[in-house]
Amino acid sequence: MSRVTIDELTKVYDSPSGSIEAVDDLTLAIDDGEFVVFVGPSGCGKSTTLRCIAGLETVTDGTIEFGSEDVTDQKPKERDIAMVFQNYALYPHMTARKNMAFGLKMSTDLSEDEIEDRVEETAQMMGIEELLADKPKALSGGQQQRVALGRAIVRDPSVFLMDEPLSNLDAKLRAQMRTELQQLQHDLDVTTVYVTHDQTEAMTMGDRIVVLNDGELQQVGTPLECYHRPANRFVAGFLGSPPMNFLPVEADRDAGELSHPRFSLSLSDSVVADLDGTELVMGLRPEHGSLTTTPDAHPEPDRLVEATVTVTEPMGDVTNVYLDVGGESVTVTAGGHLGLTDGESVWLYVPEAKLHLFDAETGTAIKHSDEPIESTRVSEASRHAETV
Amino acid sequence: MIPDEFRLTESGRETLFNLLSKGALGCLLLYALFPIYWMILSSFRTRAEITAAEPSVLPFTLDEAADAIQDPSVLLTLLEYENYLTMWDRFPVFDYFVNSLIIASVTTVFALAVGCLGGYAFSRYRFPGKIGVGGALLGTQMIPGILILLPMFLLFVWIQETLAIPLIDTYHGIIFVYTTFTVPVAIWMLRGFFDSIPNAIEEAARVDGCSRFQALVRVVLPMAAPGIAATGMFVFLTAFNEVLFASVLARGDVTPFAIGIQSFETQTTAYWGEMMAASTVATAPILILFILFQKPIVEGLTEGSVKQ
Repeated sequence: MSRVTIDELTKVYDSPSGSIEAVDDLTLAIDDGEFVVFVGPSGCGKSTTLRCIAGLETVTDGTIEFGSEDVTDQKPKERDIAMVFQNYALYPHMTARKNMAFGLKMSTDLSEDEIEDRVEETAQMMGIEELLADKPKALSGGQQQRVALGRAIVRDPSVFLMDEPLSNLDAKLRAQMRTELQQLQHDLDVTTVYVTHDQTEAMTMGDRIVVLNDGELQQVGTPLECYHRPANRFVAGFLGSPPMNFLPVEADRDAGELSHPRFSLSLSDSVVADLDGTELVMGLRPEHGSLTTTPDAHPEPDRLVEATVTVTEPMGDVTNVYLDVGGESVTVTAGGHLGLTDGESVWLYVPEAKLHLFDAETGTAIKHSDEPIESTRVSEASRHAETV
Repeated sequence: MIPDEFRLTESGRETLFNLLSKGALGCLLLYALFPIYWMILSSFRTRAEITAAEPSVLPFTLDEAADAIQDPSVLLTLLEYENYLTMWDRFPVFDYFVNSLIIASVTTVFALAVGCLGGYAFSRYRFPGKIGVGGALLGTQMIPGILILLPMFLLFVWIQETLAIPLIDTYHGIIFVYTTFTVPVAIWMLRGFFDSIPNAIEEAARVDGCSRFQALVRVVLPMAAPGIAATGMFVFLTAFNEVLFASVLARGDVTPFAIGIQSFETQTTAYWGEMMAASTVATAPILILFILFQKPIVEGLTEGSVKQ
C-alpha cells in the first residue's frame, strides 16, 4: 500500500509530424488505499498517465512518488505494482497457474511451495481454482479476465493499475465485475488507479474520479461532486447519460434574467450577483427538467419554456423525451409513461435551483445545481449515483 | 445464345468448377511430385534399366504386378536395392551428409540468434535509420549470388593471407557465408511474427518483474515459437540446398552433400542408381523433420501475416 503523488507530470510524444502533448502538467495525490478512476474520452491522456505510473512510458517532465520514494525513473519491475490490461495480456503459452505464478517467480524470493500456496489462495478468492490447469485459449473472456485479475492480486502490490479492464466484457458480465472489483478493492485496501472511458464505471466505482481532456486535468472529486458541481462545461457534458442539455443564453443583469431567442428566465438576486460576463451557456440535467401540457395550471408559469416533442424513448421506469426548443435539442428524463405524441407542444419547467451556468467562452462553471453531495464514504454515494 | 436445355444449373456449374480446379491442382501436384517419384524409382533400378532407351514409368511390368498380387513376397525380389548398399563404399556419402547437417544446423542457430534480436528490434523499437537499414537488408536479397561469389572468394583469400585466418574449405567459412545470406530474411520473417504479438503481453511481463531482455526470452520468444520454427526451417533448407557458393568455398573435407553428390558422375561413367539412392537417403531426414514440425510451421507461415 502506498500513497501516489503525481507532480506536474508532462508527457510529450515526438513524431515526424510534430510533438503531441499527451499529458500536460498533471498534479494529483492519491491516498493510500484509495480507488481513483481516470476518465475521459479517448486520447485524453488517461492511459498515458497510467502507463507513466507503471513505468511503461518515460516521463518528459515532472515526478511520480510512491509513498516518499521517487519512482519517476524506475523500471516497472522496481515499482511494486500490478497491472490489469484491457485485452488481459495473459501469457498464451502458460497455464492459468503459471500465469499467476510468473510475477512472484520473477520478482520475489519465495520458494516454489510458497508461490504455489499463494496462487491457490488467490485462485480460491477469485473462484478460478478449476481453471488453473487451463491455458488462456481454453478460457472464456470472463474467465480470462478473472485470471488476469488474479495474476495482479497474487502479487500483493502496493499499487494496482487497471487499464480499461472491463471494456472487453459483455454488458451483463461487466456490471457484475464492476461490483465485484469494488468489493475486492475494498477488501484488499490497495491503492488503485483505474482507467476507463465509461462514465458509468467512473461514477460507480471510484472513491474519487479524475476527469481528463486533451491531456489536461479538468476536475478531481467524488463522483457526485463531479456530477453535481462540475468545474466546467466539459465535465458537465461528459458525466451523465443522457448528457446535460446546453443552451446558449445571454445574461441581462439589469432585468435579472437569462434570455434566449425563444424564452427568458428570471434569476434570483443572489445568482445575478455572481454573474460574470453576458455570454453564457445554461446547463440542465435531463432528470432535472419536468414537462407539463397545462402551463396555466403550473405554479411558476414564468419558468416554463415552450417546446415540441420530437422523439420519446420509453425505457420502462423512465421515458427520455427529446424536445425541440427553437431548433435546439433538449432531452428530459421523465418518470413513467407520459402518453406524449411526437410533434406535440409541451412546456418544459426549468427550476432555478437545478440550473447550471457556464461561461460561454472558457466553459468555467458559474453556477451549480443545489443537489446534495455527501462527502462521507463514497461507496454509498456512488450507489445512489447509479440509480440516477 | 446457348439454348436453355444446355445451360448448366447453379449446382452443375459448381460441380464443373470443382472438377476443373481439382484437375488443375492434380496437374500441379504431378508436376511437383514426379521428380521425387523418379528419384526413388531410379534408386531401385539397375544401370541398364535407368539408361534404357525407353525407361518404364511404372516400377513393375504388368506381369510382375500380376505376380505380386498373387504373392506379395515377390515384391522383395523385384526391388533392386543394391544401390543402397554400394553407394557408401563408392564415395564418402555419409561424410557429405554429416557436413551438410553441420553447416545447415550451425547456420540455422546463428541466423535465428541474430534474426530474433534483429527482428525484435525492428518490430519494437524506433531508431534513426530504421527504414534505411531495413530496406538495405531486404535489398541484399535482390543481388544474384553469382555477383558476390568472386568478391567473396577474393575477400576470403585476402583474409587468409593477411590475417592468417583460414576460411576457404572450412566449416566456419561457409557457415559465415550462409549466415550473412540468411540473416536478412530471418530478420524480416521474424519481425512479422513479433509484430503479431501484442505489446501488452510484454508490458505485463515487465510489470511482473522482467527486464526487457527477460520479457523477450521468457514471453515473446515462446510465443513466436511457430514463427521461429518456420524461419529456422527456411534457413536450414537454404543452407542445405545451396550449391553455388559451396562449389567454390566448401570443398575437400567439408564438402556438403549437394556438392558431394556430383562426384557420382565421373569422367568415365555416371552412377545414376547410387546417386538417386544417396539423394533418397538424404531427403528422408529432412522430410521427417518437416513432418514433425509441420503443424507449427504451417501455423507460423500463416500467423505472421494475420494481426490478432
